[in-house]
Amino acid sequence: MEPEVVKAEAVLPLTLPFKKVQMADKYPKGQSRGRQWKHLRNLLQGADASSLPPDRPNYLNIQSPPSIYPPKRYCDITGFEAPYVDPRTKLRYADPEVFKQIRMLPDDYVQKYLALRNAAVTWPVLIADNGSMYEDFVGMIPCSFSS
Amino acid sequence: MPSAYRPERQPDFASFPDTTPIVIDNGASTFRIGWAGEEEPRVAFRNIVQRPRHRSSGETVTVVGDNDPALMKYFDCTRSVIRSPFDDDVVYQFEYMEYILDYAFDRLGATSEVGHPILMTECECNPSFSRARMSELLFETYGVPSIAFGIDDAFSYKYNQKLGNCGEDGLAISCEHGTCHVVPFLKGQPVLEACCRTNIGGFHITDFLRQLLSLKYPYHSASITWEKAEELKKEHCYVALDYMSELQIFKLKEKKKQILLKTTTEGRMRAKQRRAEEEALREKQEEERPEAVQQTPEPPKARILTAEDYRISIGIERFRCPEILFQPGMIGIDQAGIDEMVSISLRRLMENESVKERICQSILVTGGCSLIPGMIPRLESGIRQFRPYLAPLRLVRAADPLLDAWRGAAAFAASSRFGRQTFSLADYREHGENLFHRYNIVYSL
Repeated sequence: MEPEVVKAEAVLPLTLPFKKVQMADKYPKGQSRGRQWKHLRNLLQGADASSLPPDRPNYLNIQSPPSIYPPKRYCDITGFEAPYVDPRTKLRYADPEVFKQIRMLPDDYVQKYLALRNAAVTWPVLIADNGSMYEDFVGMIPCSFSS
Repeated sequence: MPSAYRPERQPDFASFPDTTPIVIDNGASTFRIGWAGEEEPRVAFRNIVQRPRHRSSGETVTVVGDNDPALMKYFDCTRSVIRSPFDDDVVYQFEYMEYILDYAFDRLGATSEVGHPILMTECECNPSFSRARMSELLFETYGVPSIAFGIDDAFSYKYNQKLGNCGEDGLAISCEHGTCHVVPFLKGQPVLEACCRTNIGGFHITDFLRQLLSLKYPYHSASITWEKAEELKKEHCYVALDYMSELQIFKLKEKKKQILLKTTTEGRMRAKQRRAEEEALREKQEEERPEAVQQTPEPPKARILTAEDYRISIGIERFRCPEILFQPGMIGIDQAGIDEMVSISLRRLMENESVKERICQSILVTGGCSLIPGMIPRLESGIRQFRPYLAPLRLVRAADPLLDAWRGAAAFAASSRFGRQTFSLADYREHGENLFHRYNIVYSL
């Protein structure tokens, strides 16, 4: 370890005096621990119904409902008000100059703009495997069709 | 010598008696830890963990918080992502939480077991599995005798109540890193049944800004990092009082600028055309002369990169990005914005009009995002839209939106009645996770 790194104490030491169980014993090397941790959505689904009585407030109860105001449509490229939608790419645009730009955009940029407002399209992909064709849904990225 | 990025190790851990509580503000953006009764947290750092690989030895090391970029060149950071133990505002990744607590206690100066009671902040209605895992971690790994959990917005509100900014009945609007909360208070206690949460926060604003800029300037997308976008947001973003009219004003300014540019470029183009015509005429004259002149082909002129290529301009993004707090539909999240959340919260409260009026006269705006200029007038105009005509309304920003939660928690922990609000290892072993279903501390001192 380089001396300046040691002096600046940039790195967490492996054993600490105030801990009863050190990290190295708890999470032994070699195991991939990324998969042990479930995401919040899964944990909330897994929480049993007895611990979440409907009359008391819990994490899911207090979430805001959808807005009562109708959503305003804004241009995906410039940010101004957008009364029009491009039928091919489903991007919203404000005036004809922006429309020209949209038509010249490469495909992945179109998807990135749509992903900004959570509207990116999932494409079905046909993959050939040992002569059999099966469909698999690949999220958010349009892939070229291969046979 | 500690660098500007790293907090110093505190030398006086042993001087505090065993009954002094340690106060932790476990925020999604910053982790603050200190002693009860003090004014400032001793140690504060960004609540993130990185696990890069050391280049020369090949082992994976852990770096908590912000780091000195000069030292980072010894580590291979290409495969290590910045990770946070939070998802929205709930801790779910306890391995990283343990690294962060290791670092925090180490910086606080702990050498032997952490034998002090701990007061830790959490979000509203924190799920019981999160509380259970956190208690398990603190009890079993650090040897803590007793723990109390409290809501950070409630501590901020109580601290400002003591300062006189808000009354006993009121509302706290908290715009944090990952979420925004609206909590009403009645007789000094938060009413969790009427609480409201939207999953939009400062993180989403910065991410939106980063994505917009990297789409507008694809050549710079590698250098527009999340940290850079955060700096730009803090420096330049503001909340427009009326979004639609701000767009109109900006459109007019853009049009004027376009006209100006056009006239100058037209002039340049005209001059270029004239030059090209003269060249063509001269060439014709040369061709007519019957001379065998070797014309060397001209090398292709490459476009010289001017200073403009290294500049990025943010115009509409300045007020477009913070607008997602008020219109989450702009980034596709189907929830209410913060001004509407206030109306939802008051509706859920189900109290009569006089109580609502009293509440609306003491509204506190806290949390990191409340520092964006223009937030308070915009919130006021938004809330006025659904309150009765000329109802009294008073919004106050917290004295220090970032530190007030910790200060409130420290004041709470220093009071004599704190000991009754904690639960110990014995309680936890006896009741298990059921302990947390009805666990809520009493904030009124």
